[in-house]
Amino acid sequence: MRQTRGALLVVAVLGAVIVPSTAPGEENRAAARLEAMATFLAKAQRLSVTIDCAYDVVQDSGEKIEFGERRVVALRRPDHARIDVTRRDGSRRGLLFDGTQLAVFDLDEKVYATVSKPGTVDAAFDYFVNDLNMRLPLREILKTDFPRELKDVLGSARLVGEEQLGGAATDHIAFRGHTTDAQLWIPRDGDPLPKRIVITYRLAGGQPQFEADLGAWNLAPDLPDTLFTFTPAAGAEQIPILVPRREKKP
Amino acid sequence: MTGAPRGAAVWVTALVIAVAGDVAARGGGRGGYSRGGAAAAGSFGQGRATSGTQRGGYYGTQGPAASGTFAGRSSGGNRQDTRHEGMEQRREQYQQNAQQRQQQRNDAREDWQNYGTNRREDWQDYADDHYDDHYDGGEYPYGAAVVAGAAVGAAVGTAVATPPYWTLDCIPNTVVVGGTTYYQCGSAWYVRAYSGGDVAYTMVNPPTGY
Repeated sequence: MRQTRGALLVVAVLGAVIVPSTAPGEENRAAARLEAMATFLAKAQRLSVTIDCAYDVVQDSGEKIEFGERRVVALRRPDHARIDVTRRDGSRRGLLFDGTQLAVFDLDEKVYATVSKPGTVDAAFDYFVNDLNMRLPLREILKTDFPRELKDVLGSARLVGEEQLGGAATDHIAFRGHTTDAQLWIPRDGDPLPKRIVITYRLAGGQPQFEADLGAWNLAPDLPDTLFTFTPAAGAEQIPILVPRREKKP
Repeated sequence: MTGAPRGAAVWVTALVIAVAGDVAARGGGRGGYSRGGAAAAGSFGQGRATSGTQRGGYYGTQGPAASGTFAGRSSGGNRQDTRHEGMEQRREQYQQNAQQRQQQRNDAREDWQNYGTNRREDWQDYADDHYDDHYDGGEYPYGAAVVAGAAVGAAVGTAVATPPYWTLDCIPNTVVVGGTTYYQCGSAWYVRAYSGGDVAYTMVNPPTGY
């Protein structure tokens, strides 16, 4: 009996080694789900979504502190966008783009800044982050080139499992980028709009994470022009934006 | 950051002013994933919690994860919060650099023109560096500033040789000149500016008449 148990154990161990850890087709399913999500988002002519974000900030001491904010996004392609941000401390700020001008404001600091940037939301968002060095979390999912941006990572996409999230059945999908690990939860039924996204900056000290719960998706919101027209708050002061200039490598 | 950044950066002022109408600056589960691990425990552990002030006080609020980007690049997050450094120390540094700043200003115009040409390439280099350096963090050196026409731009453009300050170490006197609010701490003057998505203070020359 003891020998039989030993033999079974050996078989079980060997089986665990030999059997692939991922069932056939699951990579394809994960990649397909990601592609479907990205394509769906990219084709939407207008949308609104509420994103509850939390992110770690690793302090100089190594201590990890979490901050968070709610971002209400309104997008009317190709050239209108608005994001209103309320941080957990109650402070309010935002971004507006009307096709010609980017405006940022901070209601608590009573300041704003504007930048002329005619063009699309895609270009404006890239400029905002890459050139003006401003924050715009998850801008990738709001851009029309999201499907193309995802192509490089689809090969690493895996289905972690089928999970219930907020009462909805979702596919929990993970993939690895060059410097980050990402996880998304995409509903198994209905529109493939992500319900949750977690990004781990695995190469950064302390491996901080960014987490976002996305809800109140609306693909036919009422988004009049006035929503995107920036009017400074009474008494607000216009201030510049400090932009880093990178020196070229020797 | 503990070492010199490979992709050293300097800061210039982008004068993003509506008046100009243009930009000056211009497990166990399927898939073989383990469900274990330290974070999976969700425990606060046995370590003692560290107290601290709220945002805007002791703790830095910027870092890679604040960017929320899949690419792993951060906006403003590469610069660690510098509020811990003594304001007095930096002010002293500022004064020591006063003579150098005039030369920097002269150089700035040329730098700015070069900047416009090289910016895209610089940013690409930055992105490459960032991938390589993996958020080594720390402060970038700050360099020559740029001067532009509008008042607020000129105010900032005269002195961006120091990094932004997230708080001032005094209760400042405030003066409004040309629509710009100046903050005075002793002999040092500051104006507000966006930096990495937050509002910070940047050191400037005194306003006209002060």
